[in-house]
Amino acid sequence: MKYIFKKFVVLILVTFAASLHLSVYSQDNVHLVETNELNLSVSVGFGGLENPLIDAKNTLLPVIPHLSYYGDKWYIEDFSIGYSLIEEPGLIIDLFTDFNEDGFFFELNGLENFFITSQIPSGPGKNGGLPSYAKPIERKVSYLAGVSILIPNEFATLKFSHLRDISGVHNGYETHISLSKVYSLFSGDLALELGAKSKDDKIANYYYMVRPGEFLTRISSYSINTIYNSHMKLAYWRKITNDWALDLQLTRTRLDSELAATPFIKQQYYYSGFIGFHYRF
Amino acid sequence: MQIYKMLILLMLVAAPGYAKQRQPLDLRTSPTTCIYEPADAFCEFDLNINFDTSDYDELCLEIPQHPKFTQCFNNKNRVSKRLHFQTISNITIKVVDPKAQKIVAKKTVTVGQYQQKSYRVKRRFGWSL
Repeated sequence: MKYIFKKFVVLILVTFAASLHLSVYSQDNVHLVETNELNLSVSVGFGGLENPLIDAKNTLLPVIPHLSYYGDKWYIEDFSIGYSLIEEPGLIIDLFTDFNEDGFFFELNGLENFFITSQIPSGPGKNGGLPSYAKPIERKVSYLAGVSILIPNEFATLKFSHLRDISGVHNGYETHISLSKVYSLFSGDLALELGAKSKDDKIANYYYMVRPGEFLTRISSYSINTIYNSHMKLAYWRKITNDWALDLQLTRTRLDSELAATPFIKQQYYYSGFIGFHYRF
Repeated sequence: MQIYKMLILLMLVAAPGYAKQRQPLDLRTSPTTCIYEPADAFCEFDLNINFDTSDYDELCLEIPQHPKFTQCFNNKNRVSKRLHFQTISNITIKVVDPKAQKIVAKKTVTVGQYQQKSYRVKRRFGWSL
């Protein structure tokens, strides 16, 4: 897995480096937002998050609220807060915060209180549909802070970020790298993204190492090294009126083989997505 | 015959009033708008005001935003004024008939600051689902 991950990251970097000579920065491959204006909006339609955990339920997302605000230096994007150290046409360096996603697999019931209206079974687990857990698995959602480097380019936008847990849940580190490209299609924007995330052993073991008494069956003890997940994302956005837009997103995530082999995970790949309409207040 | 008399009477009563109907006062002001740069503290301009008093015995020019500016004109056919302003708010120019205690014309000079929209790169495209 590490070899595949390294090849994947090298592919992203080489592709991007090869493109650098093509042009200086333009407004391509980024989305611009007006500053000093609060953006409140909601996406209404059909969406969901496939939960790769064993015995877990998939989550339906018919309504997704959004909030964003960009000041001169600060910005807020839903639950992420950032401060720009450098923001130039070809280079953006931010300090920012964001949630770790692994915790949500375990604590989606908390999100349900906000906007998730229902959960549906995701099919039988590894033991053929019988319950796997002896008791509810308790893992906390963690909040991270770190630095990100964004390099927009006419060919694509390269993003690199490094984050650390600041919520005291596991004290682990994450590193993200992604390459995204935006195309104009049918008067809208089609965005494609390839990305990879590494999560250190503290994160991996906090969320995915079995603790005594959690499973009905006896599980041999194990530990997990740094895990490397990767994803492909496709998003389409088309403005219909001043207030309404078509909103489509689909992400396919591949979990690290070592992680997928743990008793917690029932499938190595999972999807998340949304199709519907976006309304801006 | 009665109707004919009544019509003549009505015409006699209405005719003097009709004859006294005035044309609306042609108040001309320039500029109509002043936009100042974000770096400037205020808008600075010369306001030109022109109107004709011939239909009135007396007319007064009032500008509430200009400190204590009220000036009345008698038997003067054409009024032409040039006033200097440094302001950040709209200017209202009123021409008042003091006998009738009525505003006969009113104009507003719109004053505003140029707001250049600025944009930043959006950090996220949709939710991180």
